[in-house]
Amino acid sequence: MLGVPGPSAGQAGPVTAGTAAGFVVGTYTMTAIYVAKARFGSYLYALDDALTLRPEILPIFVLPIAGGWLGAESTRALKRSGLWGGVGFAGGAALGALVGELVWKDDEGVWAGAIVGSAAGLLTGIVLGARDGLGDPSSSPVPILSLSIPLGGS
Amino acid sequence: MSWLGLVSARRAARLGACLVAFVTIAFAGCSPALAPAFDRSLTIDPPPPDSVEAVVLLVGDAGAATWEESPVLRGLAAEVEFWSERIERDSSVTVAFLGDNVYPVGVRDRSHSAFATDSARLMSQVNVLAGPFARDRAATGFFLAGNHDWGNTSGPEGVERLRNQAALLDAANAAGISVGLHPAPGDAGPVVADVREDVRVMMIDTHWFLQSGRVEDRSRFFVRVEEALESAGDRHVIMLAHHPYSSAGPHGLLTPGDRGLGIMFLLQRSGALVQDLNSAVYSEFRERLDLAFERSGRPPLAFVGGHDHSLQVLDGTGDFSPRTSLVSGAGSKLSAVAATEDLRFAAPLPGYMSLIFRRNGAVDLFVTTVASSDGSPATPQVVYSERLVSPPDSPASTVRGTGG
Repeated sequence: MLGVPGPSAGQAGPVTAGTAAGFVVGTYTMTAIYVAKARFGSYLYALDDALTLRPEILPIFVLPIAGGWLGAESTRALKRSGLWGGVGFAGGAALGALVGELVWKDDEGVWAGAIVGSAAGLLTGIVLGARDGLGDPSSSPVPILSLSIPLGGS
Repeated sequence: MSWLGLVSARRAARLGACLVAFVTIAFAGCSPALAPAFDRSLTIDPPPPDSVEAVVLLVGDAGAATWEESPVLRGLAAEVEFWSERIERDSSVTVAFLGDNVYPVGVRDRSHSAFATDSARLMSQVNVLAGPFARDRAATGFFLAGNHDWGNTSGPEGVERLRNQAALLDAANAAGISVGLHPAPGDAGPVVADVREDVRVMMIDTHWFLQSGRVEDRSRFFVRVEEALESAGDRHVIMLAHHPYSSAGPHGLLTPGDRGLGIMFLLQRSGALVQDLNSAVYSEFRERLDLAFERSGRPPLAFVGGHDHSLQVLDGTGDFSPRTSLVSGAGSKLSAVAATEDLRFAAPLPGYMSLIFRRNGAVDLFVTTVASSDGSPATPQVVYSERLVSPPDSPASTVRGTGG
């Protein structure tokens, strides 16, 4: 009889962390989709409307599963996703806020741009980080960030 | 790495574990909102019919109700028949349907598969005015547009949904039931009806404003509101709209940071939730309405809306805000109410409100719920009443909210 091995005790932490992070990212992505749609006239009417079964809530279901899977596959990939996701989030927020200011010229537009931009940056960073982390570590010895400090000398 | 390679029993088990963890996280911390408790003692006795000159019944958000299954609509119909039989004057009974008359997205085209359902929902409300005494005395139904009647959208597509609704109401009107959509599709109003010598009803389409992007159109709307208020003279003005002036329900309160996983704040801040009172567009609407009230020097006696699915009586908060703000949106759906300082009464129960205009000049408010707590058939029950305007010749003639 064949048995199906479950996650080892050492994997439980990354799986939970990946699932939780995926839920947060999924919720944020869903929010950004609604914000983007509202900018083009398709407004939301209440939170209840936002959480009814509709295509926009798909990220809430998909990303936690993807996050948990990533945690189970590779702790390194999960960490890299988190790091690059954070970088993408910050960069996307700044860029999105700037674009929002230029395009819509009001406070709501700045917020909308920042939310949509940060979500796009977050997802892009996560995908890049996961790809990087899932690769063969031995073939990718490049550190995540490199820093050269000139020490001077004669 | 091949994607096909991912599909293995081991990985499926991991995915299952992820799903369980996700569901646990997603549904943790959800708790139902509580409704505030109120003293339900009645301050005004039900009036003898011969003392009543006109009745305006207020019900909103009834667009999910069907005639066969809705005790609210049947209770309303019984009340319409009661007053129509006893008040010996035509058009003395009015029912204001305060928008969201057809869930979920208004009346779709005749060619659409959902047209039969949409039209049945609307006609369930028309039935409220189809009784023999109502027809005989020309009891009138004012249907106002809500955001769902606009199809939860904006522009020509939304106006087309309103035209579909107006066409059905016009057909009912031609069949002898006095109903109509006010203001007309695509028009913001106000539409004015003087239901008594000293009472003016003003109807506006608030969703028109919330979805309108043209500054000039908005400005013209407020000029018309001012004109209607000024031409009211000494009449009491009752404004009817779908969106309320104030509310202690989900649409009216700032969302606590811990509700809705914190996304509510982002949605509100970015203007995605235009239907909430604190959204930028809604705030502008209220500010400019207040300005119109101030310029005219005649704030309305009451501003009546639906939108939140409860029954609420609230104080006006500013010098020129409406004396009383009413929310009557419990026609077919329910939502919670939180305790706020300006709340005089609230019930998250199915029901409607009545404004009774007495021959002596008094104006009384009655709140009626149609709920059953023990499984028995629901029957209408007045749960709250108060005098909004005292008779002119009474020792302490007052209007509620101006020191009364």
